[in-house]
Amino acid sequence: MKKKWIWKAMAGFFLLLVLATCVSTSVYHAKLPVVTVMTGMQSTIEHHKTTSGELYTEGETLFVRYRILPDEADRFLTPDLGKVSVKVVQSDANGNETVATETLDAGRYQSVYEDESDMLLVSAELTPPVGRPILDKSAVVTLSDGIYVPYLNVVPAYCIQEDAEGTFVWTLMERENLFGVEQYVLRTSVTVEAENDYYAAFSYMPGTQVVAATTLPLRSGDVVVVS
Amino acid sequence: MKMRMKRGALSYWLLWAGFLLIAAVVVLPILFTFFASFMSPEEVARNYGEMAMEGGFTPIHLLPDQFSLAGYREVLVETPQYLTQFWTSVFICLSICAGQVALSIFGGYAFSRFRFPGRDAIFFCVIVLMVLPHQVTLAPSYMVIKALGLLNTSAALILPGIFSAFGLFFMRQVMASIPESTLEAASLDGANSFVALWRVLVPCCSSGITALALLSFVDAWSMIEQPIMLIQDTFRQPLSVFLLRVGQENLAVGFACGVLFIVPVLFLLLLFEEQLVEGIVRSEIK
Repeated sequence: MKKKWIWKAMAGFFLLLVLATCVSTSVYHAKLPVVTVMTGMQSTIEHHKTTSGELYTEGETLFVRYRILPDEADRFLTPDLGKVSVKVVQSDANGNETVATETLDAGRYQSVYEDESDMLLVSAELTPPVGRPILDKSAVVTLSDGIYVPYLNVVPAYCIQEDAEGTFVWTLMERENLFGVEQYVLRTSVTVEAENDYYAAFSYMPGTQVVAATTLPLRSGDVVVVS
Repeated sequence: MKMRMKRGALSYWLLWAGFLLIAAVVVLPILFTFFASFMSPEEVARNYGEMAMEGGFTPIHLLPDQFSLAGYREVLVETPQYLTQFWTSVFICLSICAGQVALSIFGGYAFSRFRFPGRDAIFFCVIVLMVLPHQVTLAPSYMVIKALGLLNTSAALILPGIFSAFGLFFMRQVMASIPESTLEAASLDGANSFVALWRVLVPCCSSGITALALLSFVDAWSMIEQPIMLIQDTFRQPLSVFLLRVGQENLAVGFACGVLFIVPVLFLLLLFEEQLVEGIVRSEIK
């Protein structure tokens, strides 16, 4: 009689643990971050150069002025003069003002040599932003030369993250566990070799899988579910 | 006369006090684990946080201020890691137990019933192995397991575990206690050696076999050094290794796991208590 009771209690205990294992496994998997992964591809990125410029006006026309080395001038002024980023003040519906960056298209340009530095001084006409006053006279000028350079690892630009320790990507790794293979992420420091508005090339093993989007903030070593 | 009676009563109470002290030393850690498993992680950290630090002194705080199942919730619902390790322990222990019992039955039968050259010398070696601390054989075991390519697998624990010098010695003693006439009767009925073992000796030695199974299970259940040395992946290690590494940050979980870890052994002892005693008596290892 006593033994029967102990057998039942032991069976109940192990049944409870089997159920708990199923529940905890489900809860654990439900809490994991779901990530979207991109594979670094061998591709090309348009070569570009970034330099600082100065804004000025002549009459009502807005101009940007920047310096460039003479040997670079032929490459970068043809075929695309480039884009000019300026800081503007924008107001929302409640009248709150915020500073934003706006990209302006550069139009007609002219260049003259500066005698003392032997650099080419380029002035270009800009289309001014409508209804958003420009904050200061500084501008960032991005010049493209129309040459596409091949890189081994090209991913969408938003895959590249930045924090206090530098530029990094979340790389997807695999390891064995009791239920099979699980995926986890590692913070991998990388050097960005080239980037434009849409794509970035980074130095790492070709074909590396990097995280493009995640449902939860990640920490290095976190187990994830790949969507 | 009165003086002698007084002295007798005094020694009686002193003896009782001594026994109570020993019982407290043995039982208190179990009670301590059980009650602490119902404390919240904050209370555990408050009461025993210093215990996890080297040199810290902690007064015993037995009953929880506030009843909490947070530790059990973490172990049973939130994180599957502990239960995974629990089932790993169960799998490894059952495999070792089954292998050890089978090997010891055959070995015990050979040593107790057959005469072959070098039998006594081999049995002497078994006794020497039995008294050898198992830490001595850890490093050679590691090298053999590595050569076999079994490092970081459950087989690294199971394969060396299925041979036990004590199990062989124990089963030899148990089988030697069965009268020769019983086997002779079986052989007169036409039973060969294997049938005699399976149909006669094994049923006659059932209490001894149960006792050995229980002892080998408990031994494997609490093994520490072998898994630490032979298995690197945490999820492959048994729960005993986690309990060894419980630190300040997971003390509450450690107490809950401790209770879960005690329960199966407790059930087995309650179920097979009589067989354990009978088996040990029959083996004449007293």
